[in-house]
Amino acid sequence: MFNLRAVTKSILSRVENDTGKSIQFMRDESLPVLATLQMARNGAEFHVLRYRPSDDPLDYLIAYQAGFVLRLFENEPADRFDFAPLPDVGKRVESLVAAGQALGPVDRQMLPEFSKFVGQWALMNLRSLPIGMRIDQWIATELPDLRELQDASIALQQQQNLDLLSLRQGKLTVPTPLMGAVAAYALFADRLAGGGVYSIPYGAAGVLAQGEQLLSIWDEVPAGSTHDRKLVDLWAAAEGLTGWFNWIPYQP
Amino acid sequence: MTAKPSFFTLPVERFDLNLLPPGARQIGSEAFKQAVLEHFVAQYAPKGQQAVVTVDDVEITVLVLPADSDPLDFVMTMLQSGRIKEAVPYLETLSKAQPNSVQVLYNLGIAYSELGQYDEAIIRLKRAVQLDPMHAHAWTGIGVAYQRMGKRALALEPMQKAVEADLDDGYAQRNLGAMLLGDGRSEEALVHLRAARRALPHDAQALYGLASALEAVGGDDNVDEADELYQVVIQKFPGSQVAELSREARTKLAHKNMRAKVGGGLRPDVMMYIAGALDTFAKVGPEKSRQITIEVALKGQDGLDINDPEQKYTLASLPGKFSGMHLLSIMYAGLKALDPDMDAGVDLSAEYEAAKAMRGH
Repeated sequence: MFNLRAVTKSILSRVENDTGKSIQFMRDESLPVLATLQMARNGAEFHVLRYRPSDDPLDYLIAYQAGFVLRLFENEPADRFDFAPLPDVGKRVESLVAAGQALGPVDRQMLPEFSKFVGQWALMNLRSLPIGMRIDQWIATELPDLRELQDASIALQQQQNLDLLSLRQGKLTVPTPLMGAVAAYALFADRLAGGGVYSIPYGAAGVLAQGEQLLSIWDEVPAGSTHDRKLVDLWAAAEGLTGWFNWIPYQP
Repeated sequence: MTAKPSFFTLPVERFDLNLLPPGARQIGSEAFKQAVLEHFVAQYAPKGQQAVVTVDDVEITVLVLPADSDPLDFVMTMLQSGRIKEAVPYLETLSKAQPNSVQVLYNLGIAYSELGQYDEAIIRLKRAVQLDPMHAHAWTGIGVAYQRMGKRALALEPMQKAVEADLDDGYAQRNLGAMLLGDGRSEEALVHLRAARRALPHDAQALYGLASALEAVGGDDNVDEADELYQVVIQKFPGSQVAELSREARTKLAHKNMRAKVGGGLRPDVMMYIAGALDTFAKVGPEKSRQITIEVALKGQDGLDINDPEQKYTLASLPGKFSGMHLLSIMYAGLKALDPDMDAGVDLSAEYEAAKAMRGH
């Protein structure tokens, strides 16, 4: 077990109270990220918080993950939904990836796998970034004890997102229309950090206007969790991703 | 505001040409490259950040860090904290921005060498010595990279160049000395390893290397000096790998001396010591025997002086005073009792068998 700050423990208590299920901590040396919180499903009696042993404090990451659970359970049971990508996402991305260029046989061969990866990445951003930004705003405003950890984690996340700008396999790159969500997140991070450097690369890549549009939607939609689904749907419409996923009723 | 440096690359075709003056929109042109560079510098400067930008025909790389920091200092901090793989992209960017910086080329070369990318390392280090032929460390780096590749024949020349570039550079002297020693050129190695020790009097590897060279050259004075140096290494750097090597070297040396004194035959004193130990063990039982053996073994970790007959050692587990050879004999008998196949680090098997026969075992 690791030492968590009082504020993090109180958030986890809230999760347990709101969901009526306890949290089981599980050490996992092979976890690709530092911490994940898997909600109890299919009658399971507890949520599972997996963590990778690390010298870095996990408090912010745990609070961030808990934020998704708390927001889901702030909705009435009938209004709790899971985000479910459609299986043909890769096919839908193929035309975007291939647009405007003549692909050779090797590129064509790589196209389905590359597109599938990009499609999954785009939908993961759609699901996690707009709501995640709500959670980040909550942490920044109401949990000052986690602010420093939040800044460090956001900086790391921004650096990882930048790597996608240069992702390339042969002639295949991430299509510009799908970069809007990460550009919006960079603009949001600039606003939160009071800087302005995170969004500069997206400006150079010509995707800042898309980011600004998404951030403007984020600002206009009320911040309450009952509007989370609407927020995601509006982002999807702006990014051209409507119909790429379904909302299915949450099954505890 | 980000205080931490960041780094990104952008394929040239992804750059928004509308951000550039009309005359600079031809991708790949010098005007394009210059305008992209100016764009990023102008974007980051008002935010208190500096951008180190390189543009080639394929991609744009941008290293962003606080305006008041030296990019190389920042990378050096990374290297010094062992974050070598992480530092390489930054060094590559700096290398493109400052293609004639010997310091950048040198550090990039060493970083590649540490990562096992020896060809990449040698290219950068050769460029460094081309720009500064007196850069002893870069020459040494080339030699070490060749050595790590298993190309010893190619390693010698750059190591010699390193010494020529700076006779006072202890590392250059040490590496050349070790190389020559490995090639069996002990007399030449000794010269360089003595110079290395003068320059690096507290360097464990220089001390160990000199001791090895002295031992290899041979002669009573040299071997005595080697033994003293091994002891210095053991005392000054306990727990290090060279201390362990020094212990092994001392044991071998002592064994050689011991056998030399009796013309290679049995040592009756050792035989008597072992016989006495076997008697004691029989009397005190296995548990106490193990305790005595372990105490001697621990004492032996710092090296027992087995060439001095003076009884200068005592044990908590056994009364009396003992010479180094006496303790070694007790330890040998004890270890063999624990496990007959155990390597005791010294061969006293003939005396052991003779002692057992004498005792009727």
